[in-house]
Amino acid sequence: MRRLNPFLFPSDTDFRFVLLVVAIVAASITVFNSLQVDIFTSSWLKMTVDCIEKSKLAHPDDLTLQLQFEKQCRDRYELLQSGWILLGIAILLSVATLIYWLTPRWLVWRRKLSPFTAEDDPQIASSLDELCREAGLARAPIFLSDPLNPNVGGLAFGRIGRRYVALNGGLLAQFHIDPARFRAIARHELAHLKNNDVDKTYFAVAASLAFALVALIPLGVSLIDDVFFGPDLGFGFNLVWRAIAIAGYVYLALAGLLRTREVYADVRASIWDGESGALREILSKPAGANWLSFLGFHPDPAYRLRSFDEPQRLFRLSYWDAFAAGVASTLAFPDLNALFDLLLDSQYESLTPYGASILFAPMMAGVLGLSAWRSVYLARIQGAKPQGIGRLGAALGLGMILGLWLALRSAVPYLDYDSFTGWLVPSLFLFFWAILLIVGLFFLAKWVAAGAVIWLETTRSAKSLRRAYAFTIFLTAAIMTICVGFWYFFWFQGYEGVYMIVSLGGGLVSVVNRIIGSPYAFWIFLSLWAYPLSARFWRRSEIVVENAYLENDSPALKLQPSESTRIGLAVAIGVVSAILAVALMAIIRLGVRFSVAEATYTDLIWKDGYLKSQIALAILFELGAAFIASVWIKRAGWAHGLLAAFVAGGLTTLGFVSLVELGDCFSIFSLGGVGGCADLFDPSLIGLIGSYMVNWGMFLSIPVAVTASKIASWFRQ
Amino acid sequence: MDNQTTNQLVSDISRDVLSEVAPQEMPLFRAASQAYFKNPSASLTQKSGDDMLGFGAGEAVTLLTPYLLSATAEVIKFLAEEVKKAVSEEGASMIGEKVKSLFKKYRNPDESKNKVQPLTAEQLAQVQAIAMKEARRLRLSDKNTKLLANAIAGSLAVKKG
Repeated sequence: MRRLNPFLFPSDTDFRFVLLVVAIVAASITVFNSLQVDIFTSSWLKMTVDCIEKSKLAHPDDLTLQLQFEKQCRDRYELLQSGWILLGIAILLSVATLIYWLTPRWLVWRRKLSPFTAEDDPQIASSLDELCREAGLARAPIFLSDPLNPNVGGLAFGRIGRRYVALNGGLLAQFHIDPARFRAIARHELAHLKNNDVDKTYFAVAASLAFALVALIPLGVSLIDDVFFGPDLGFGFNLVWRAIAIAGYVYLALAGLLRTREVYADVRASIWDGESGALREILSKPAGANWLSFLGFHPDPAYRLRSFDEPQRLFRLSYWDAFAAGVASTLAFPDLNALFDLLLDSQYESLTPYGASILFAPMMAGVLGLSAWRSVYLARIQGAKPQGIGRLGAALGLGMILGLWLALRSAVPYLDYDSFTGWLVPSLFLFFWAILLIVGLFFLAKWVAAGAVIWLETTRSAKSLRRAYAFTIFLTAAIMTICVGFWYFFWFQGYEGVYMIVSLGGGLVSVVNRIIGSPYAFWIFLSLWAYPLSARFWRRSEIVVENAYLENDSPALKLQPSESTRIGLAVAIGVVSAILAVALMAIIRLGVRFSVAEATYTDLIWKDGYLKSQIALAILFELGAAFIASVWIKRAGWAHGLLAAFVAGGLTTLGFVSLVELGDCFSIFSLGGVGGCADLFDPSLIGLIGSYMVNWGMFLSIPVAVTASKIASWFRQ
Repeated sequence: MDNQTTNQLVSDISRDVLSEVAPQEMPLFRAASQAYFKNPSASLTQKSGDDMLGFGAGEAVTLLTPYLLSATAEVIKFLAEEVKKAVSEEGASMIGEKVKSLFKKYRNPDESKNKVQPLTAEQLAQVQAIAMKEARRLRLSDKNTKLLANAIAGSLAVKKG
């Protein structure tokens, strides 16, 4: 059986590299913010008092001007605070870059490496040339000899533009005894170069070192001060265990990256060495199971061999990876929020959660998008259904909650509750909100996968496959930026803040109505069906993937696409539904016009009730359309259902607005409106009615379409 | 004998012996001897275990080269002393040549043309003991210690009878 090529998609090495860098940046933000608070708190208090005094002196009689003056006075200082955090990050990245750049030179010096030339052994030199050609490297590395290292191994290292492969004495000694073994290990090292993981690895190590030097050591000093000399021992310990957890997390992320790159190098090398070559023989040497292998820098030998034999295992992202990505993505949220708060004017305060979301959503989307695509691709080839993608989303969500909790800023007690009940309600709110995130990400991951199943049918080459999953990630990132920012805004507000927002916003219904009726929600609802169904326009009669298998002589993978989507039918159902709804609206309108007294239908309260009933009617027809399309259409019924609901909602909105506007021209349709024939199709009226009929209709259609489609597929089975 | 001459001699003799006992190590000999002469003590502490970023599945083998270089250096030191005793009136510059000629490979087949007598059985035993002592000091296994000592001793010319 041919082995599937995992290099068609970005590898776990790439994923873990991004994860590590994001984790280090996030952890550094939280550390530098904590240090900044530690250093500046007393001077900040002093400065605030000073600013208040100055503002009173400057504007003794005008409170508004006083507040403005005080804010401007504080702004300069807050800029300094935020500058501290940014400077810390800049220093960390500079130190990491410096370490990365100097590491090759240090390794050559430290290990006393010297160039390996044909003079040492012409046969080996020629064999190495041949292996470089076989690997298809754009530029051959410089081979170095590490003659006193008895290990049968090597080391690929270097920096951009200069690559080295050190050959240990133990390995060089193998050439004339067991040339196949020598070549297998040399191939493994060259595979690191081919996989482009050398820069990632050495930068990751450098960044981890820089993190320890620039962030952890100063934090350690500050924590000693907090624990032993601070006023609150509990708070000090709260910081300490978080700091230890963050340091441990960065270590685990680094170890994960180093292990993964070895597995991918084995798989790459196996292309040249053969499925049952010397490399496999080396890897199959029995080794005891090590339950602590997750702490090590080398993969568990059994796992290494399994991945070599079955590279399809590498297509599935583990729940732990998704969980870790979740932690990294929100670890800096509370501190970034504080940073943006310092940087931005107070009028933009509500946007600060979106700042953090914009920065980290691409990674979350990358995790969801790529894991979904890889699983879908694998399942399609194996003729199975993609499994566990929703759970990956949930794991990501769980990690995000933990990340928020781990942030050093979260050590600051939010409020001092005076009773159990006082604590219970806000905690229940956060619990509910956390569950909402986890469930939301569960369904989002499923949606991404469902779309990927259809988009896979647009694949004609590895390039078009890349384009398709890049599009998925881009779209998911956009949706996640909005949704996660929104979610975090309310999480950050806590129960007390949300309660105030709801009270000031005219009650829960009004606030929810504003959210559902917003343009952001419209675009999200639109993309729910548009993403999967738009693939139809690029659909191919045959799925062709070149390099689908690892073996060099394998033919391209060809698959027959599944049943086509039926956009036309869904649109037709939506149109029919809209026609029926508008017809019924027209009948009701005429009925009201001729059977209800003018004094009644011109009454504002009555009009309000009438409008609501028409909206409810429109939504009912949309739900009907969603239900019919979801049941009728076999493939991606839920997406067709949403499309049908969207078409029905849009057309019904236009129809209803037409009836209103017609009332301005023809008295038989008039229910006492004002205006004239000239402003037929008022865009603001369409927007207003549409925000109810389309957005609410779509929102309520989601559960109907998903449930109906699921039940219908059970019945079909 | 100056350092350069000694090093050259150690290098030449070691290479010859290595080609007999561990020819597979020849590709690493040049670099290993360079490292050894730069810092003999550091080069003898062989690294064990795999690199954090290395291959990770390769076992460690015993490389004889560093042991051989060290043992040969001790043997050359001894031989130089022996030659000095025998030809004390001659210049130091010639000692190197004479020590070299104690090794079979560099000895003239016409015994009369050699300026130095071959080693006696007693001296050979001493050479063997020096090589073994050095190899043991460096914690080489007994089997390899014997192999090394025998090979060095075997490369020397011995008085017949």
